[in-house]
Amino acid sequence: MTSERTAIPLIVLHSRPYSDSSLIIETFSEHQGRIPVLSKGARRTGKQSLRAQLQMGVLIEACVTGRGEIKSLVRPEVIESTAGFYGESFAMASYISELLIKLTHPGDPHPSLFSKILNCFKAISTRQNTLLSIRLFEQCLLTEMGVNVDYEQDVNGNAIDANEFYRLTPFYGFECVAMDDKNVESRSSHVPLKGEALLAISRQYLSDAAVLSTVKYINRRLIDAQLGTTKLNSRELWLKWHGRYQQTQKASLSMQNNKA
Amino acid sequence: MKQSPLLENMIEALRCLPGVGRKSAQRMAYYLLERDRTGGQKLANSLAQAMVDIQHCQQCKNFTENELCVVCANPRRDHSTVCIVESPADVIAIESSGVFSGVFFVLMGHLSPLDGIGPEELGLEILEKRLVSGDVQEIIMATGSTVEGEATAHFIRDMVEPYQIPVTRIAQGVPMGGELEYLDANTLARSITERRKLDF
Ligand SMILES: [Zn+2]
Repeated sequence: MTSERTAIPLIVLHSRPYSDSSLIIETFSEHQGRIPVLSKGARRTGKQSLRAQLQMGVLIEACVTGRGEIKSLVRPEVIESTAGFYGESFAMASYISELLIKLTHPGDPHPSLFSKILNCFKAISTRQNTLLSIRLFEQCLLTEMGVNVDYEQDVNGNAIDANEFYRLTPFYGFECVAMDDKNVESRSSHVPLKGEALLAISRQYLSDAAVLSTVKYINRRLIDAQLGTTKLNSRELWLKWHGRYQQTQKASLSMQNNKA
Repeated sequence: MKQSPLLENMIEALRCLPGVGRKSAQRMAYYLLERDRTGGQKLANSLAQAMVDIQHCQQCKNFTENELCVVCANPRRDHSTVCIVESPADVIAIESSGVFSGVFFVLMGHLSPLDGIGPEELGLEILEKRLVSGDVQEIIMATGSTVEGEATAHFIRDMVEPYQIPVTRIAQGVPMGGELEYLDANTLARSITERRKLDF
């Protein structure tokens, strides 16, 4: 256990105004997992530079004191800031924070997640290797949740065959889909997954776009199973940002018609 | 100690104020009862009336008891320039700067999926109606310089794009009387990338 006087590195996941002049900040630490903290007076006039620093994705170093559910943040200092999250990047970064807030408990240690979160925020803000970093983060989060999927063996104990197709059942594993079932499967929401892709995932060969989209599908179904009925607002925002395009097309059409 | 029911109710009710716990609520209640009954009566009346009558302006969403707020109802203001802000307090701040003669749109917050605030909660469809009307010539984004404020500005810019209305963002950088050495790195970086030509 670290002393309250030692400054520890913390990743800011989210901050929101609290009472007149303070902020409640969700942070993630290397050894104590998620820590919600109160930063007193952070919104006061003259403290704008502090407020500017305590933003999503920023790595800070600070002391965390107090015994209650919400601890106090003392002497925060920025170690690494981000290039900011613009447009869709904001929805993606929010997705990372939202998953951590909804799926991890304050104080539960998840040391392997720390660097993955940091990489993710960095990748999203610089728009480099974004999708891969998000998938690796999701995989790590799932492992931390105790979700271990066997990518080499199906539910019946048979080795995954590169030429066969499989169906994923969360909490259970991959099940081989019989040849004549394939048409039925592709019409339902459960996409049959290629054995070849599963084997690539097990070897962490994720550079191929098709493999990466299989990872996305699998992670999504596993995460949804963990979330249960809890909805992800960031996912909805992301969809809206995309849906906007079609809507705006329609809007500009009606504008042209009005002018005509 | 439990108080009489009326007093207990009053203390409980006062606790809905931000930053007011039981102790402060108790202090306020005693103060009003002991020293300022007229003030208390006035407070109760004005609260009762305001809570029923004050709604949102149909054009800018700011608080008003009329269909339109004083700014929107003023024909002398420039209705073609719309400044988008997060809160009614921001309207007051910009008004007191005395340099803006356009009208506002008050989001009453910013995009914050983690707090369950999406585009609908900000009433962006009301803003879009104003864009469709064709009266708007410029949009000034004056949301906060936070991650959420920036994201909100970008979301609205994407929304405005098909209407081909210029969108500007309020300038950010060194505050008046600010000395560079005390400025945080982000603000300083912003003030350098968004530097302007010196012309008097
Ligand atoms: Zn108005």
